[in-house]
Amino acid sequence: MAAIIVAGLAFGTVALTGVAQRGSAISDVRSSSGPLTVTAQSIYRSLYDADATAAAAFLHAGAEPADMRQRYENDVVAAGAGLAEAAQSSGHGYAAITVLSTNLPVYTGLIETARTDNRLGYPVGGAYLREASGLMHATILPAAASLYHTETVRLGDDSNSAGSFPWLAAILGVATLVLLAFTGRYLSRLVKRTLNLGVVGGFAAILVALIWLIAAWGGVATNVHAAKNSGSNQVEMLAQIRIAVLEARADESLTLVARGSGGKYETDFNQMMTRLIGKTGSGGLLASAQAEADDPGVRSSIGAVAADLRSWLTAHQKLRGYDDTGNYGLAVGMAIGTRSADTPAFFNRIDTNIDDAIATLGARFSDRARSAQSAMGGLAIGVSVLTVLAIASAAFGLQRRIAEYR
Amino acid sequence: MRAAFRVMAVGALTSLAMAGCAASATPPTLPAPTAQAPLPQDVSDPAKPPSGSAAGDTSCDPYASLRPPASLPSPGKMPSGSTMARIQARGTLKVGVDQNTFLFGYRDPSSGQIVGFDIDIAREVAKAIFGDPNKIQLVAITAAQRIPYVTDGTVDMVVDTMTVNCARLKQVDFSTIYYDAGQRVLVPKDSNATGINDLANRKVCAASGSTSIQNIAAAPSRPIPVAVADWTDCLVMLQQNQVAAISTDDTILEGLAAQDPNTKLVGAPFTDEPYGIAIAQNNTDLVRFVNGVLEKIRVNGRWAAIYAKWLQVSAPAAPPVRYRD
Repeated sequence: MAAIIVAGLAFGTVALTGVAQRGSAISDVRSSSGPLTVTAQSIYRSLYDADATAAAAFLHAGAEPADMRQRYENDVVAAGAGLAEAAQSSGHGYAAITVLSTNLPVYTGLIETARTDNRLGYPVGGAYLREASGLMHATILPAAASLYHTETVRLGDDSNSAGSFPWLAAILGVATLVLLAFTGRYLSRLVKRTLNLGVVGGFAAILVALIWLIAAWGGVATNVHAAKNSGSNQVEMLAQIRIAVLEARADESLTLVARGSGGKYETDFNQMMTRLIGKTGSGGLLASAQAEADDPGVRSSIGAVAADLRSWLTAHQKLRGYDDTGNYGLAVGMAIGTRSADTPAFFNRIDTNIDDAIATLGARFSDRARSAQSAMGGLAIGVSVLTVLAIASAAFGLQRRIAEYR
Repeated sequence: MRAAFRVMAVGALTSLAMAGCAASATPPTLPAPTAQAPLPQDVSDPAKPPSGSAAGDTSCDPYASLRPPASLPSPGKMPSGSTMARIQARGTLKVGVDQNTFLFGYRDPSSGQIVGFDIDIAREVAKAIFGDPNKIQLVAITAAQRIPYVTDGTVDMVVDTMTVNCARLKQVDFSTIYYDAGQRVLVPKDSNATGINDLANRKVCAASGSTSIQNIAAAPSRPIPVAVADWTDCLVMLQQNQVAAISTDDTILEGLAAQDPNTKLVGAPFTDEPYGIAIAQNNTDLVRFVNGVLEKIRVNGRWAAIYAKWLQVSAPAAPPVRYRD
């Protein structure tokens, strides 16, 4: 009897510990590493866009237009807010968050100095802009990328530990069942009564607990797996696409800002475009993302992005034609203009479509995470109660028999 | 029965206790971050030692260029087969210029155009070829790109505060001198330095690829040369207290001082910096043509007008001119 009690207790304890661990992992996925991955990606995007906007604003003659200033300010605020959120909840990205927090004010200070000098008509403003951009690309963006990487790894770890099969609990549960079965058979042989109700009750309770545990694991694993595939994996892909788009946009502006010595930016632009849509215009990252997407809304957004990228490439080649034949003014006009054939129109539409797709996938991820969490609902209490009932029932049943023999 | 209850109680408590155990995290020890000043991109501190000295080679006469033709061809009627005819056929004159040297070649933020003394000189050449000073494509380049862009034909000529010296004459040809400058020093207003000789072991900034950086490296007081990509990067470093002084042609320094009233020019000019227009060596007809244009604007007052417009004082005499053939 002691063996049954020990086995039952062991099963209950291990099962409960496992439930607690998985519960905490899922809770992390749902409220910490999951949202933080999205936040880290959004910090990177805001910072990159701020720098690209500052470079494009430089192309305007006179003070930069109000809507570009507003876009830059929104980006800085978004990055700052994301940073506050990451600092509060992420225990692992301290180094990266420190670099971001300490360098973002330096960056914005340099941009303001550039603006002031620009307003006064001094070319040293351009030098401050270049210094700011250098700081952004050499120090700040790598830290943001590292934060994103840290959170992505953590999300992977949490997902794996949430969805891992509870081997030890299952083995102990099966062992307890076997023990109870043998005891039941032994007793029925001994006392010539077919079934000891206490032992049967204990067996049933442990069986129910075990089945519930495994069913819950199944629910959690399915949801976590789906969250990863249709949620965070695709979001990761879209994040890569967005970063390449931002880099291409910055390259287009910087080639014009450098006015003749910007060959390396133009080369990089073409590399980004090849990466995004492949050499033929229908391959690259966009094609992969399209193949992965299973939500029709996301699919159509990605399709729209691919079409706009092709149009942008055509417009960009026209822009380069202007610049290379000395029509700098027309080239700048296409790069910062507001007509439907100007490049900002394509870029803004691409940005919006990627935003929509990421938001849809983010919502689906949250849904799946919530389902995973609810799959574990009541499991802890249920397993505790069932284990205690099982032990009590078995002990009661055996006690009666043992008492009869004393 | 009592035993069973006891067992149940113990079992329940143990399970709950174990399940309730949570791993406690120890707070990380956080390293204290230190302030790090940003730097302009592509700073070499200290600068790599330049190959060959600028002032050392005196085997040539920087003021002597090729004699212009007896009469300049009319605009739009360049002699066929000449470099100017090729430029005319292309439709624009491609000129390498600076967009960071205030007053000489800089991007005017209010108009977005590149303007300056050098630009106006270049436009005179375009006007002489096309009859229209606007048929020009201004390619903004760094100091280090001036010679390569001329030798590989990316631009037809470079008008970019470029000092003529014998080392450079081995790689490109130059027009006659259109401006005479001298190297001086720019320091913050509260500095005690009165010239390059007071800057021993101090950091002094200049653009890489310029004669200025070579002159700093060769100065007897042994300052530490710091090289940057563009002249305005030097002003950024001075404002960020990362260098003690900037040393280059007084013209460029005047442009930097105009952007920051807390600086002052000190010291007498310690080098002679004659400016010429750089042209590829096998385009001798273009060199002669440009010399003809320069001679014309010296004589008809246009050079003095451009000088007065940008440097806002009436011009001294134009620099001396000699022809080597």
